[in-house]
Amino acid sequence: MKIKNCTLFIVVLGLMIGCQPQKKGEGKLGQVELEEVLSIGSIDDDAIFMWSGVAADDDGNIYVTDMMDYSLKKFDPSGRLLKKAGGKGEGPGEFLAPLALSCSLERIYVKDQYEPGIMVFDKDLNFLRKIPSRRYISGFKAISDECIAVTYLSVLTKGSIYFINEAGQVLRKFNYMTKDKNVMMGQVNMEIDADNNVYLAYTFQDRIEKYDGEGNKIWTRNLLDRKKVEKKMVRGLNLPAQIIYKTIVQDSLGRLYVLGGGLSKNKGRDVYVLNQEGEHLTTFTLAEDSHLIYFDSRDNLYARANSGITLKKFKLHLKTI
Amino acid sequence: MKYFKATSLILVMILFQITTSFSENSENRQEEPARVQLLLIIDFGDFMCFSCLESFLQFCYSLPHQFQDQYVWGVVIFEGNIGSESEDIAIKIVEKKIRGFRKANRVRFPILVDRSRIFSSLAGKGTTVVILKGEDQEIKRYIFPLSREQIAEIHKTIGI
Repeated sequence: MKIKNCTLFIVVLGLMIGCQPQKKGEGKLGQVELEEVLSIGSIDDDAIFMWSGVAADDDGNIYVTDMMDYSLKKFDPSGRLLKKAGGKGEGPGEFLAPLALSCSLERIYVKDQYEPGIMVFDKDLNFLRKIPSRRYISGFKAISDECIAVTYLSVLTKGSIYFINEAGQVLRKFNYMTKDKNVMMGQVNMEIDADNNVYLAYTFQDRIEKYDGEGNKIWTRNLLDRKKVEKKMVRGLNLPAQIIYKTIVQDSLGRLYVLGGGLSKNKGRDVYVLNQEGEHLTTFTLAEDSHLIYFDSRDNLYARANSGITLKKFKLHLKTI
Repeated sequence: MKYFKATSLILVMILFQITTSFSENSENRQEEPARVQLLLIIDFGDFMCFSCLESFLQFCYSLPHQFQDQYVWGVVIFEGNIGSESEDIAIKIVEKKIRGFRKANRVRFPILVDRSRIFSSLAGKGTTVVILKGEDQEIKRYIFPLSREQIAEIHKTIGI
């Protein structure tokens, strides 16, 4: 009788656990397959010479910055070039080295490697204005047409994220790292979700973090056994010599994708997948190393190929275990 | 010195071959070799460095158009595994990037990729300008970035 009661108890308990609703993005993932759905740029055409930044709007149009011909380009969902803007120079809408790119509902934001501030274009690539900045912006992400999250290049490591408007005025700010350590160690790649949670993948540390909208740290993860980056002396400064994490992006289910750098098993190709709780779900490897990865609103993944003359778009097939 | 003279003679022969194989600007080129030739050996790694390239471009813009059309050549050197299939693709990628760079920067003279790895030994540590002058093909080399004095010296040497 006692054995029967115990068995019944275990069965009921198992059913209760098994029937709990699955949290978003949870469950270990197995193999990840990448299905190539689009390739823009090849050896034989002049579509892209060396793309540096990429973004896509909700209509599936793709925006690319090209460092070799100093341009901002717009492609339709089939990869056909619709428009090219920019050109070499320091005038309005011109570039010396167009680098990072982000888009909001109606705006395209471009950061030039050698110019402070952020340039603002509309969806037809018409230059609108420049968001002023006295400090060099190291990273940014458009939150909306009225708000952009930026990080500034800082030799010291007091890391902060500033939320600014198009006039460059600070709307709010939070600090993610207040202890001074070594030079440049506070550089981060960031992703911000719809609930204003902030995810950081440190450029020169084995460290990935989540903060809530108030700036409270939720969790910290280390994926590479806390390996330390090599350093070298440059003009009296002890600077990191390798990049550990290159990008952090999020899909529509809240899963995080972190592109590894020089300390990953496959340098510049390993992508670590985590859930919103920071649990490492799986790792997959790109065919070629990429300087960044990007997810559009339809969960298509973009990455580099052919040393930057090609932009590839993939559909991910993730299998749960 | 003997090594440089031998190299310069080989270089002139190679430049002859390059001259006759060019289709892009061949109609602008003289059939007989000029007494001055300017060879710009460009390190492909410098394409990732804006300040490195800017010095190179400013020097190019300082040369008269007619001089660029007739007496200037560019060669890109880069690292890679010689003879492999992947290198063939790598060369084509470099050629494509050069095509975009030339057009965007309005570079008039032709730029080749050093497929045979002949010019690496002539280059210094980085992008280099090599002047071949006179019947005995005297060679002078300058490594970028160039100072104002060096640019003036080059202009004087090539007679502009």
